[in-house]
Amino acid sequence: MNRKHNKRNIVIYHLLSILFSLIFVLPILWALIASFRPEINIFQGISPLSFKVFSFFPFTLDNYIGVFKNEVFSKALLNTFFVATTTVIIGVIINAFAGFSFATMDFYGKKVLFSIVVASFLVPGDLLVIPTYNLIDSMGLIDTKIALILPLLGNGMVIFMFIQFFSQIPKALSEAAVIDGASYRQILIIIYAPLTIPTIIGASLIMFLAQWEAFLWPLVVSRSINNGMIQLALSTFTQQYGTLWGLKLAASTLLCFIPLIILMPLQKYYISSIASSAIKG
Amino acid sequence: MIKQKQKISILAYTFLLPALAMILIFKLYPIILVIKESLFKVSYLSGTKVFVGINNYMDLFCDSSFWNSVWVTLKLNLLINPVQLVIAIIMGMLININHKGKMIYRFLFFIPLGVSLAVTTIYWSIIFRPGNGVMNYLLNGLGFPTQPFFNSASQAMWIIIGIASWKGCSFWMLFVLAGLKNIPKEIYEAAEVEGVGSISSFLFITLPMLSKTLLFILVSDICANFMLFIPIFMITHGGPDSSTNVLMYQAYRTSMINGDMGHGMAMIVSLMILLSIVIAAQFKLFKDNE
Repeated sequence: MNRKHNKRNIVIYHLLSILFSLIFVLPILWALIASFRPEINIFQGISPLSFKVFSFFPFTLDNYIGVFKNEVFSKALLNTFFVATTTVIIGVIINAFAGFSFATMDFYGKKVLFSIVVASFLVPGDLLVIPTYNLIDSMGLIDTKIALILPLLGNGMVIFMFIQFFSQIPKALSEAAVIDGASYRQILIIIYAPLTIPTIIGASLIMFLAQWEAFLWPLVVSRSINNGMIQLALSTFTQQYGTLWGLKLAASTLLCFIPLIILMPLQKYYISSIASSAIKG
Repeated sequence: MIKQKQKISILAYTFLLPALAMILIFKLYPIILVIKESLFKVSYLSGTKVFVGINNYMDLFCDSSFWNSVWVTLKLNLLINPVQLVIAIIMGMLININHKGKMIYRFLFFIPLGVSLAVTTIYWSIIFRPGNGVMNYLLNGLGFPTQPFFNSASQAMWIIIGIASWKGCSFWMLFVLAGLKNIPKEIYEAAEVEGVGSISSFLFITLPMLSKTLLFILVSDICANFMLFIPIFMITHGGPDSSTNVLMYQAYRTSMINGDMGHGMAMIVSLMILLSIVIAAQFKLFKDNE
């Protein structure tokens, strides 16, 4: 009786899992394969439905060559890498220092300052894009890379991750070092830095993805192609006469696989950082 | 010793300053700015700014398209958040089961994490193309009539929900997974010994133990979906018949396209208040249930 019951559960488990997997994989797989076909063959095999939908033939690399030759897209790709990398480097440093300070030091006004971090946590990202646009406008920074970077630097979630991490390290460790005459800088570099690498990787991924997927903010603040960002550059393949599907699918595929290639080997850091920020709830 | 302590304080402030300054300027000051700006009217042509008090709000409250946007935002959230929460729980539980194929499923379930919402929208717009999309061919093949999808006021919102959920559920699943890992295995073992079935162990152990995680997911999910913008911007432009014209999109269009900053800002403030009420209600409901 029990064994029969188990067998049925296992079948349901696999059926459900396969169903979800197909829903996630099929669109990406189709776009990947179709992006290697010439423009007129993109939608082959859909009507009537046949195996040709998932056939690489006729094979061509023209779409990918076309995507990189496209000025708007290739510039946006470089810009996004630049903006994301800068955000990650500066953002991780400043948020890590703030987290370190909250977790290990005592100072006047700690509670008030901490409530600022919590408050920023509660404001959803895109809500204030339009007033932030006004702010950036009054600074004279519209259509600059600085405008793309600045608002994403301070990040309550990342500070929280670092607080979680630094407060896990026993205080005795740093106290012993203080007694031995070590300065705070030495403590930070010698004791904490090596332990903190997983948290840094997790924080970097979160901040990188935030810039990689940025849409509304660059839409509002960037004007010229010199400051274009990648997600918006996708629309350049939709033109007045119709959509260049081959180029659009090739660009979409690149946009999926670049973060996936970065994310997959590092996923355990990404997941544990996200989990650590949720535990506070 | 006191000198040492002072030195540490100064160091602490120096460490805090850059990050906190960024948060204050770019995350919290805009809240004050949006409230202030919503009390002004800016002439698009001359650029002059006039204080109009609550006039912008009065205009909105008399405008039926504003109330439509409020309703669309609430309706979208009423539908999308339970859908995403339930799917995220199912996915999290599937992945948490130790069984053959677990690693493959885990890998596949993570895929949407790397796919941006803009790209997701492109994929789905191909699948659901009203005339000759994949879904219509499938429907025809199964004997159903061709559907208008995005071109229909009753179907467009469901497609938007589908797009946002395809991308969102994997992310929320991560939190479910973290929550499930925190439940001690002994509880299930004890329940099994007592002869508790799998459905009742889910209802009476898993769900109560997950309640805090689920509240966190629900609140974060509501925050995210109140701001849902990309699929609406890319496909429906608020249509057809304003059926997907959420407040965020309407605020964007009013302030950035029509250049009417005052009204746009008043919409953002309304959205902020609406969101605060919904989230406060969530917390209250949760507290009452405890």
